Amino acid sequence: MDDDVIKQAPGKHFLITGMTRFHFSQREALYVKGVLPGKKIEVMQLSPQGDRLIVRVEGQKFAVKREMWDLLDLEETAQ
Amino acid sequence: MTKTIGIIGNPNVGKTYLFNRLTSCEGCVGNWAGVTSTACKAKISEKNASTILDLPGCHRLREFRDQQGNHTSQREVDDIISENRVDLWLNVLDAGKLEQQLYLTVQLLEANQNVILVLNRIDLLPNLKKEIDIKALGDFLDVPVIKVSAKLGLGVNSLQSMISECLKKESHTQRSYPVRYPTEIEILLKKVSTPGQTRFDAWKKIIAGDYQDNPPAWHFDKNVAKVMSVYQTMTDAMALTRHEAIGRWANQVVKEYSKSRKDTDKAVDKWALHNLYGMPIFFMMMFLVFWLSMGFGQLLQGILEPVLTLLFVNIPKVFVQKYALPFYVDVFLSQGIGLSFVTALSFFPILFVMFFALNLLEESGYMTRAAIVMDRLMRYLDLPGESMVALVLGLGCNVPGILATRHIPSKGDKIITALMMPFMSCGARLSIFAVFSSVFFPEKAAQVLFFLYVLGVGVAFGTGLLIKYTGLVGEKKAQTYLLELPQYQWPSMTMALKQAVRRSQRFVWRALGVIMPVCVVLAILNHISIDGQILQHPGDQSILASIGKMLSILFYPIGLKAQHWPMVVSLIMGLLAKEVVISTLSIFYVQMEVSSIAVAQNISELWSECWVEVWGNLGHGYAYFLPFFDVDVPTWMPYLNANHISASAVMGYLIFTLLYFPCISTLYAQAKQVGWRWAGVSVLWSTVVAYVCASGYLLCCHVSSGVWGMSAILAVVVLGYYAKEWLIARIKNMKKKKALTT
Repeated sequence: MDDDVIKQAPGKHFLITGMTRFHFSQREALYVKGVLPGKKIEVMQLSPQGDRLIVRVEGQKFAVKREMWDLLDLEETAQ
Repeated sequence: MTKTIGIIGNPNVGKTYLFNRLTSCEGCVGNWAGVTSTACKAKISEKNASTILDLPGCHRLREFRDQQGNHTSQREVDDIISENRVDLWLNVLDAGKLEQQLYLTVQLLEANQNVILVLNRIDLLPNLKKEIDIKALGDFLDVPVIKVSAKLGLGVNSLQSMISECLKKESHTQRSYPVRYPTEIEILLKKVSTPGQTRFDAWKKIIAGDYQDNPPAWHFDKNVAKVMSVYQTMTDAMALTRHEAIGRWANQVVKEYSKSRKDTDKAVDKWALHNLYGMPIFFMMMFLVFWLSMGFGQLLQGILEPVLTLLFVNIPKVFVQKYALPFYVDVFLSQGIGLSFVTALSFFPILFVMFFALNLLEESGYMTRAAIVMDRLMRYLDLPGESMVALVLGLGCNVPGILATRHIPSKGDKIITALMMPFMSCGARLSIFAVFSSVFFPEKAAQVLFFLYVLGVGVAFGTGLLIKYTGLVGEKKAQTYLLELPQYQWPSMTMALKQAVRRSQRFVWRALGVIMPVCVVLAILNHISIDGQILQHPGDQSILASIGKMLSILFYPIGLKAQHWPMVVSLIMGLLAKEVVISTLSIFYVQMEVSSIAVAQNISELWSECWVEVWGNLGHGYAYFLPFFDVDVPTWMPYLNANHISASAVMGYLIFTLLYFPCISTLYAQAKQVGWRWAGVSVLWSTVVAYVCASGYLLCCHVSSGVWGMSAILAVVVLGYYAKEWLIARIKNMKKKKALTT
């Protein structure tokens, strides 16, 4: 995502539609933390230097690197 | 026969809280994933002979490899499982986040382990508007389930009876596996497993196929191909099937009253992670921790020290004189053992208060946020934010700093941080600097302190940059792409207090073990002359003095001459712990100065003197919280004055003290975290840097002094040139090697 799009992200909700762009071992590590296709991600805010997004999946908060965020296949949804 | 019970669960679900409850031990807890770093072991109680293991948190079993293909620290858990060393697992789950955590449970069950599910933090469930049907959950998984709150101690008794009940049941039979895989996978699982193997072993075999360049023959089976076309890899297929099943169970087991989840931390995080205020808040928090811990610590020290001196040094002296015991008894009792007690115990307050404050910070959940805030800043060094947190902790004491590097995900970053750590000026070194600068640079004490801190931090970051550019440690490392943020919580004061007492106690006792023999040996060496006579008034003739004089040649470039042998000896003693430097000096200068050996009075007089001192310190207590207060100048300090040693030599000595050899406990911590080899590198590097920096400073002071100065500068330039050449050659060599291997 571009910087401008990222700046708009806080407050929005996304649906994870796919994670095919990850290496499978990375993917497995994400699954066990609760990030898997079909889950909703809510973007809370950006980290101080904008290199991470603070997101919430099922009540658990994460700080996600921009690089990783860009690899997720996302679809904006309503709440 | 003793049985072993293992506590296992995701990071930060309160395993250690439970461990503490069950064993009445005090393991470290914190609201921070990964507080427990290595497995702890303890007896459960006197009646029950079984031992209980507290394992580091993990999300799943068999964490295969990180991105560079290295096995991760979770090997420990895997080994325990595969060797069947544990008779009963307590699988601790955070009741509020059941769905994310059942994966590990499923794996444990597939490994055919004996499991009790422990749902922790049930006290928080009403806040989350959730309810959990534990009977249904137990039926789905075919395991006993129990609700507890380890923090409040709810349900711990019934857990204990459940444990002993489960242990009484002899070997459990083969259980039914909770997850049904698609038929293709079920067939495959049967195919790869040999009799007696669990489903977990079969799973490991199948997964291994994904990692191999030449997968085994069954990997080209048509069933597998069918699964792979849907899920890409077998890893995904099996993981997603499990998650699907878990999702189904969770839907039926967890009842939620209100769907809308409020983020209670939002307001706090808005400030803690603000792009402008985030960093100032971080430094403010750290400043608060150190300011309060130094202030309270010194206040407590001011009360404790006179009392300790009275008890351990002066009373033995009176005792010796009263019964007219020989002089060497006095040396042994008061100078040796007594003084070592005073030195070690007077250290307790500062450590205690610092650990307490840090515990509060850790438990509140702020530490992870701090790592995120500092992340970008540390990118200049290619280091993650966690290493900044570790380095800041190192400013208090290097040992907790180095122990905190275990939160750093990649090994290379860990090594760099551990190598940088010894240059962060710790509290012990601060006390040395404060004493010396208040005597030698009374007007500029603050500037001197500031200069030394900046020098230390500068050298630390210089080291980091050097390693980054020379690539000595290794390749570009994996970053933490996904960091879990724990929920903020009010830290439990009693827990923090107990832990702080325990941690500082342990440190003090261990330090005492080192300090006491040193003190005794020093006192003896200091009172025996080379020809074996007992000296009433130690000084030039003692054995120690001659050792120091011999070694002082080595320290000539730093500005120490033969008559400064006590300072040389203090540097050597500083290898044990930097705290010993001042006390070593005090031993020598007190003992050299004949008049200061107290003429023993009667005990009541000493007692009242002690009270006066304690009250005085209490009365001036507020001064400890002021930014710059008058440092207590030890009574022996006037001996060490400008006539004895020049100001520039003192500065050289301070610089050397700042940078040289990390103390033994730091070295040990380094070795534990990154291995003895890197610890050795750290020792060499820091000592060389210290020598160069200190003599460089002296050089700058003496440049005008002719031949010596000029020749030394020449030597440094030549040496520097060769060092540069060597480094460049080495880097070229390494690049060549890399090119060859790829």
